Amino acid sequence: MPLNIIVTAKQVIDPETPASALRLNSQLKRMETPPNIPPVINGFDENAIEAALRIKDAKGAANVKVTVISAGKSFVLDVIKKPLSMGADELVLVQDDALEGLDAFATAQVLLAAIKKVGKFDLVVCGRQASDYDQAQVPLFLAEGLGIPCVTIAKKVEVPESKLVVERVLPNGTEEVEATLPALVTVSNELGQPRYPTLRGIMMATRKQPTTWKLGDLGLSPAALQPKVPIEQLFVPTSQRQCEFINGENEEDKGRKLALKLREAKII
Amino acid sequence: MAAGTEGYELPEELKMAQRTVRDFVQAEVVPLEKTLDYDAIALPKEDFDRLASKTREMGLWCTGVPQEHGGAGLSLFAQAVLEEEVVQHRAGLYCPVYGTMGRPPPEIIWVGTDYQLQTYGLPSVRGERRGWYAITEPSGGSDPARAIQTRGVRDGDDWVLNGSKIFISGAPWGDWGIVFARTDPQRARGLTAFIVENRWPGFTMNPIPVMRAFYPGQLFFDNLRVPGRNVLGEVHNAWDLLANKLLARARIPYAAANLGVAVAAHRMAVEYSKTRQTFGAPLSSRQAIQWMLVDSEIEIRASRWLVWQAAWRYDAGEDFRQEAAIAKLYSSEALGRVVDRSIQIHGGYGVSKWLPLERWYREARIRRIGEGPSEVVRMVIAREILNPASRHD
Repeated sequence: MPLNIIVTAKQVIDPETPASALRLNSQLKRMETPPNIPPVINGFDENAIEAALRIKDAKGAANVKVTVISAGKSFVLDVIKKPLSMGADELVLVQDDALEGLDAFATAQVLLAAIKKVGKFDLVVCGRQASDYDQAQVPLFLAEGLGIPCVTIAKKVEVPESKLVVERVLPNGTEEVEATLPALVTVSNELGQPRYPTLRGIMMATRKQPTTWKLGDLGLSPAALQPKVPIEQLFVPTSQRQCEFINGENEEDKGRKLALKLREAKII
Repeated sequence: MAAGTEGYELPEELKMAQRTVRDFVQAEVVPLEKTLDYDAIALPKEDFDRLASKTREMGLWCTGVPQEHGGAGLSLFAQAVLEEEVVQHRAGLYCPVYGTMGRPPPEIIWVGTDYQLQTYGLPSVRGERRGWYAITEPSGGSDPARAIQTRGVRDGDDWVLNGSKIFISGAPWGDWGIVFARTDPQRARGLTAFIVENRWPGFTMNPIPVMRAFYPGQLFFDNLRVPGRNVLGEVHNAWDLLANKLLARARIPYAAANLGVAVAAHRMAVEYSKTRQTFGAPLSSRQAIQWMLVDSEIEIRASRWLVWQAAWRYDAGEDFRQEAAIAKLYSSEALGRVVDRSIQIHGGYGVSKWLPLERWYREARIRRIGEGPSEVVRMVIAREILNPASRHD
């Protein structure tokens, strides 16, 4: 029996988009995709795909099946197929007009239903967070919903025999933990650079068609996806700059006055 | 039935390959350039090896070389699409990705004998040797039928070459090349192609300082003895190799490179104009700037269609020479204008060596001379317009 790995991947606005090209729609409370700048797959999700493919490399291609799941309102096919060109086996797209502006909990419900519909899995690999809202919540909801252990912020993921071994990133170093399978792991950029697609992989990816499901195929209705954390307001914060020169009799005096000012402003 | 067309956008695999190459150049090459000399034409060995091993793994090594010779065997159209991305860095116009996607030998080596392929073609694909070709002489380059005075005279099984070539790109860094020489003085096109090696007695090379760091060389042949097995193609019949298989074809990737650098320069101009404030408003709000950006946008799009059309015709086996000439002419002139506008929009920063625009500006100037000066290319295009019935070559 092959090891079944499911990777979640999200199509996001390219974080390299120049700030001047970004449009924030305050009324609809969302970011508008710049028309001439194609979206990308969330960077941490590419790390997750890489982690899954490294397990596939280690265990042999025939012994591991990597299925990538993505949910969204619409996809740019030659973007979202990138995991296939990197070496993933299958791509499942949950595509529905209702899948716009979901909060993390609702997104997790959709992915949860999709994972259950895919069926058997041993490991779920997610990026640690998405570069659009950076909430890092979906993987935790998923693990909870699936009732499986969750290990976060991995820099190394291995599956020797039938257990999960993860090297986690800590503020002051790393730690190694183990979990029983099935389990969920979130991957960080410390894992290393994701592989580039190969020309051969690209040719194979274009021959594969993703499995596409609507919300109804998962037994979900838009009503079930009402946000638990609605966005009240979306705006670009305004910042004001004031410049003040500190005068003093000498360097020490200026330093002292500067320290006082900073303390008054509660900066130090 | 409404008249339609099969499609008006790139196929999915080409879009994916294009994005992959773009990611590679922007993530691997552009950051590296910050650590290099401004006019660098090569990478430190460890960086070259690191990037080259990635491109080999990606299947992007020598994309235009046929698969049976160790390349990716891409169509010229696919190569043109990728070339537009490959050149989008500071050294890109003349040293695309610093050779980390391979330095393929001159295309015409593949008509050679098995010996020639084994000795010159395949080692060059593997990165062990580097080839160049030499047409232009001090007497001229645009009219090789008259200008080539280098003589090749048979001597037993060998040939003996005497003469010189000038402005030969790649020769200073190569170790073998293809030299076109006159072997039948009775015929204007009585030319033969010889494979020579830089190290052979009778071959000398002097660098020619020019406005780009990737300088060309002047070659001298003084009783240069070439074995008969190094004749490429037929004796006295190298004209087709020279004019069609080499020169006309080369104009297509050349034009794609012009297009790519224009795209990069234009993108910088657009972005800068939106962030730079003058008199309380961004530059992009000024009509004078907007019109510059519009002109560049249109010229870039026009270049792209011309390049794609020429490449498509080549791949389809149709006569592509007129299209290649038009693409080369238009893209090289457009590149100069686009870079010039981008510099103008950037003001003082534009001519500083903090930005790649200064280097592109110098190197773009050469593009209106290399691979056929604009005036000669215009003459070629005019002949076809005025007398399409008689194919000239």
